[in-house]
Amino acid sequence: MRREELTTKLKRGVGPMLLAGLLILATFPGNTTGCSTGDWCYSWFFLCFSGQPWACSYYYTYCIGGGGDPGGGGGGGVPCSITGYSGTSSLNAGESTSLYANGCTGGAVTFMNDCSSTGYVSGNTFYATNEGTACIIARCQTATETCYDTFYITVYPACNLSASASPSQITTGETASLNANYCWDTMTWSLVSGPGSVYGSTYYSSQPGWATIQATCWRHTGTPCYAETYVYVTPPPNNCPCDTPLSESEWNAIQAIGAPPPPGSYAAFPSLVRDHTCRLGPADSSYNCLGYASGLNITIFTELDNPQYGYGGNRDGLVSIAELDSFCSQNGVSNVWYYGSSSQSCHHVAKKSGGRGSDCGASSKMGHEALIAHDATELEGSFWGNIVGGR
Amino acid sequence: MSRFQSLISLVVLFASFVFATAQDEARYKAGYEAWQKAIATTNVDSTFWFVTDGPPIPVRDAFLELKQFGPNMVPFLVNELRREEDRDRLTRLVLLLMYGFGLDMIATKPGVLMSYYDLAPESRQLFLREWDAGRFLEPQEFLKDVRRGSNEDAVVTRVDPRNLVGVGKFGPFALPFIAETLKKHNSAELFAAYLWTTGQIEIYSEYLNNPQSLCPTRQEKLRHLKEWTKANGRKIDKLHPLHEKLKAALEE
Repeated sequence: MRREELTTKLKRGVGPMLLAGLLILATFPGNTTGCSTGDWCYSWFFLCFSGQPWACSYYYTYCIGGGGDPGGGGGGGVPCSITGYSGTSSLNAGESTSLYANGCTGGAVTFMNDCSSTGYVSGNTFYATNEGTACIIARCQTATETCYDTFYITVYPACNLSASASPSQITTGETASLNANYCWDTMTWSLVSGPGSVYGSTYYSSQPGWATIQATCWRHTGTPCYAETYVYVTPPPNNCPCDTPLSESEWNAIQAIGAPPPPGSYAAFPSLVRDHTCRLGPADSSYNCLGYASGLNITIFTELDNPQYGYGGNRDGLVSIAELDSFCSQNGVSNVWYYGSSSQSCHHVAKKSGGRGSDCGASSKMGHEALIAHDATELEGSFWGNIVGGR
Repeated sequence: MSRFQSLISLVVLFASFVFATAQDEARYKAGYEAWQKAIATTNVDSTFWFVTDGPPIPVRDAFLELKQFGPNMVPFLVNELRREEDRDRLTRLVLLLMYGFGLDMIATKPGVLMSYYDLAPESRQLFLREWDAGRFLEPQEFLKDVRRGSNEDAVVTRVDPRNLVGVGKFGPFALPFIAETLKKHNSAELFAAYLWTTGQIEIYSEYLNNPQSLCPTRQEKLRHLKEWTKANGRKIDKLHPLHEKLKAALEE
């Protein structure tokens, strides 16, 4: 056979045979898990020496003989095994978690990140940077073998929730709107500390002080996200200019009128605000509320119930609105409020005016106690009753 | 039974009576002082002194306690009235006899608005003069004079409380007279006086404005009074001879 013919035959026969061999290797790989140092492995396109077995694994290469399958105990050395896990199976971007491994007897454990887009591994810690699923590889390196385990950590988006109150400073009795940013899921608000209450996204103040309010974003991805905001509640402005405030004993005496014992345990006028009162005159038993309101300056009240006085009294022991009206009408009394438990039972009369300012515009003689300026509605709300009439 | 045994029985009976009376006096005294103290310590005004409902303030509770004793307590209170020296306490006592026990002793002066505080001393003086003269034991003749000219059978749409003042002055001691009159006349005014005197204030207040709504007939009025006497006999049984007179007046 001539040399040219042999060359042609080889070209026609060996070339296709080599190609067919490579296809067979690709179609029928050997071991399909990680390789050990010293193994030969191949990828789809090249054959390599597995000086770094993780590299084989990383590029989806396959072992050809030698060590190999850590689960199968190949290579004839000490069986290699490892189970990796993390301190938490989920965390928010921006957070980190410790990494652990079991089963690597007599070997060195290292951790690697197989999904770099969700974060990175440094030593035994995984730092989450982006939402997604982190694939962490735990590697066990023994004297004769190297084996791997892959586990996963769910990374939720970073908590960028921010909360604010508008306005952040209010006066007692006012409300503030609660706002949050960077929550596209369900938001709830709750009062953590301080006065007042929260309903929906509104803060209702009750007393002066700092209120701490927590915003919770219940994210569909899992763990909730929190933020706090604060509201400062200032005392209400006082418009009761007073040069002669009630003394402690005067205030206590008024609050004790008719109140059950022991003294101080029960306020006769629970709604009365001390800063909204002012002493206009001292305690004096020579005139009472009706005596003051009528200008007659005598102690009269139940007297109106006496039929003989001509005020329509029915002698039932109570003073009705009708009896008070009759008295006021006959004596030219106007600009007064009647307080009582019912239209048939009145207990107090106050002047609508005579006080000092918008917070204490009314005035009353408190039984035998002091003559005071006060807010008309603040005398309401106890056994003394409420405003039931007036003229 | 020998004379000696009879004597012993009498002594025991008398001792029991004295003991019972002393016990009653002690209860009256305690109740009365509690009421005075409740007013003095809480400094509450007179519109609360005779309240029987609403919140449990001390004065209300003390007054309800006193009401349980009924007219039997009147002689005790008259004794207190006689010796009371404190003006505030006296004023309260005068009003207690009026609103608690139906004895309207206030000596008002026509056309002059005076406080009960100012009127109390003179009212006491006038009342005790009549009490000591025995007028409360035999008020019938006086009451006949007071009611002379009144049409006891008038059908009225409203009872004027001013027409009850003369009868109200005698309080429970007017009950025999009221009973005797109701046996013959259908008097709305005397029926109202009976309701007030016996402390049935809520019924009384309603009755003034609508006298036809309750016991419109004479027989019904008398039955109401009889039932009250029967139910409250223990509150009046120590007022001799009032109790006997009332029972006699109510007999058919």
